[in-house]
Amino acid sequence: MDLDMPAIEQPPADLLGQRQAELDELFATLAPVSAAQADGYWRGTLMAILGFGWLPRPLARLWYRLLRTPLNPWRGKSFAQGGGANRWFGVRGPAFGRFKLRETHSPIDGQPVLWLDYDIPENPRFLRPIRGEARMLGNGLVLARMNWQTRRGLHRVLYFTLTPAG
Amino acid sequence: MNTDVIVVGSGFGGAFAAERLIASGLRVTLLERGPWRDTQPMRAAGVWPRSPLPYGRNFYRQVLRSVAMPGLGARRLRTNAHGLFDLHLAPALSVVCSSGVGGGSHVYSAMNLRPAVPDYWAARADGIDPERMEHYSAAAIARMGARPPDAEVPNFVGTRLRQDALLQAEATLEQPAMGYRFDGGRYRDNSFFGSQDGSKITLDALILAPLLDRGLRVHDLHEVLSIGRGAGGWRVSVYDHRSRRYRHLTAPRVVLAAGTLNTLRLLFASRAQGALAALPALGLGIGGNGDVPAYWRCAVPEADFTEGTPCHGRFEIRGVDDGPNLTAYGLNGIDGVPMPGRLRARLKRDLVLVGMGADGANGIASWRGGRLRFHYSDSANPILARIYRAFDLIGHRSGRPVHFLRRWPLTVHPLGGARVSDDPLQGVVDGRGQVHGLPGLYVADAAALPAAPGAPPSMTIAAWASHVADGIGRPV
Repeated sequence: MDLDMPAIEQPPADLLGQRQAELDELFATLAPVSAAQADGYWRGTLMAILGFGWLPRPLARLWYRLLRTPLNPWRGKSFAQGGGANRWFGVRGPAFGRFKLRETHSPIDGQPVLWLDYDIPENPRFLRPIRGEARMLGNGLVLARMNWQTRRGLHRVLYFTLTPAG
Repeated sequence: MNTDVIVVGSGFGGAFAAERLIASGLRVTLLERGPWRDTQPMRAAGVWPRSPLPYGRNFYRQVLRSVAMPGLGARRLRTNAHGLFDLHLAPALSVVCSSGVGGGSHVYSAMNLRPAVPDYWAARADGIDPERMEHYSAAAIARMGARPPDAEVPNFVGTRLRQDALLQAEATLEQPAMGYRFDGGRYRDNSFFGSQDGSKITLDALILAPLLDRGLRVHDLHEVLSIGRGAGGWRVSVYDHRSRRYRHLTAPRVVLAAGTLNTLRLLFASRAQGALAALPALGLGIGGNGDVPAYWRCAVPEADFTEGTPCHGRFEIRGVDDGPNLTAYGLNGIDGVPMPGRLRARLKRDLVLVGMGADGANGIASWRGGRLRFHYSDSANPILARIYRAFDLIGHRSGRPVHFLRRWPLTVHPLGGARVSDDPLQGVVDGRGQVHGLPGLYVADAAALPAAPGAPPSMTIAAWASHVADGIGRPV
C-alpha cells in the first residue's frame, strides 16, 4: 500500500450496482494482490450475490449497503503467513472459515490471482468447496470473488471488496 | 480490446489528439459520454444512431443533461443522458459545459484564436517548445478552416457599429477567425444550441466521422466513471447509457480529454478509490478564463440579432483605451425554442455580451463527499472587475440595462486543476502531458493548461492535444 494515499473506507458506490458478468469483466483487467500485500485485517463488502441479479441497480446498491451493517455478521477477512480466515461480528471478531493462500493463475480467466483455498481439514465439509480469488482494484482496495467448486467446475457465488481495517 | 490508446472525450482535446494518434498508426478507441448529434453532416456521413439537438418540441427534453449544485451532495441531477448541457452551479464558480460527440464544438461561438497572452507557452515545462506550439496552433486554425467574417455577414460588428455612438469595431481591431462555412450563406440557428445544418464547423463532422474509416472506434454514450492501473496497463470503467451496462476496458495508454470539469472529476474520483498516485497538485490552478457573460437589453428597433455568425465579433467602447476583450452575440438559436412569439421578437432585439481576459488561474478544486468543489475568488482576479466596469459603462451610457452576475463568476471556459509543470508539487502533468509518476496516463484538455489564455481557448487546447498526441505517437 502507498502510505501517501488517503485511506479507503468504502468501496465505490458504482461497484455495488454491478452484475456478476460486469464484475467478471472488471476482475479480468486487474493486477493480482500478493500474499504479502494482503497481510492484516480487512473490512468486507458483499456484492453481486448469486440469485440477486434481478434486482434493479438502485435496489441492489441499497441491499448491499444494508449487508454492510451489523445485520450481516460477516465483517471481513484477515490474512497472515500464507493463510487467513473470515471474521464474524467484528473485523477482529471470531474466525470461522479458514483458507490457505496461493499465488497462481485463475482457472477462469488464466490471469495471475491470489487464490483462497478453503479445502483444508480445519473447515467443516460444507465450506471446503469454496475457492476465492483476489486482485487489486486500487491502493488498499481489493476486489475478490467467491466460487463454488463442483465436479462440473467452478461456479461464481458472489463478489466482495476488502478495505484495510486499520 | 485491441487498442493502443483510449481517448476519453471528443472535444477539442480528444478529437485533435485522436486525429494525430491515428495518423501515427496507433489503434485508438474514443469514449464520449454524449451521443452523436443529428445534424446534416452526420446524416450525410451515415453515422447512426444520432440524438437530436434541442430544437422545437425536443427543446426542453434535450437541452439539459445534468445539474450539480450544493444540496445535491455527490449526486448530479441527471435529466437526460442525451441532453446537451451540464450545469455545475456553485457560489465560487459556476460552469456550463456540453456533451456529445464533438464536445464543445457544438455549442461554442466558433472563434478559433491563439492565446491573447504573449509567449503563452514560454518556460512552462521541459518538452514544450513555444515555436512548435505555434506550429500546432496554426495547424489547428487551418484545420478548422477559420477566417474572420466579411463585412457582408449579417450583424457583423465591423459593419454594424460604423455609425454607433457608443461602441466601435474599427478595422484596426483584430476580429476573431471563425470556423464557419461562410460560403453557405446561412446565418441562423448555428450557435449555443448546435448547428443542425452544419454551417458551424464541428469536430464530429470535420474530424471524427472521417476518422471512422481510418480505424477510429467511437463509443458514444459511454460515461467514464474511473480509471486505474490494471494488469494490461490502464483500466477504464465505463457506464454505457445505451445498453445500460457497465464495461471495463483496458489499454496501455489513456488520454483524458473529457473537458476540465470531467477530467478533474475522473482524476479526483479515481484517486479517492486508491487507483492513482497521490497527485499532490491535483486541483491547483483553476480559472475561468476571465469569462463574464452579460445580457444587454438594448432593444434596438427592427433589429434581428439572432442572424449572423455565432459571434458577431469584437468591439470596444468609444473613448475607452485599453478596455477588456469584449464580444457580442445575438440570442442565436431561439427560433428553435418554444416560447410566445412576442417574447421571441423582443429577445431578437437584445444582445449577449461576453467579456474575457486572462484571469490569474489561481483557484483550487477539491473533492469532498464525492463532489467537485471550486474555491475561486473574483476579488483575486482583477480582470473580472475591469469587465464589470466596462459593462456598467455600457449600461450607463446607453441607458439600457446590462445584466450580469456580479460576484458570482460563471464560465464556459474552465481550465486548470491538472496543469502542466515540471514540479509534481505544482502541476499534475509534465511537459509531454503525462501525469507525474503514472506512465501511460495523459491529460490533453484545458485541465492541463498552465494559465488562462485570455481568449477563447479552443485552439490552445487543440494545440496542446496535438503536442501530447505527437509525444505518444513518437516517443522519446
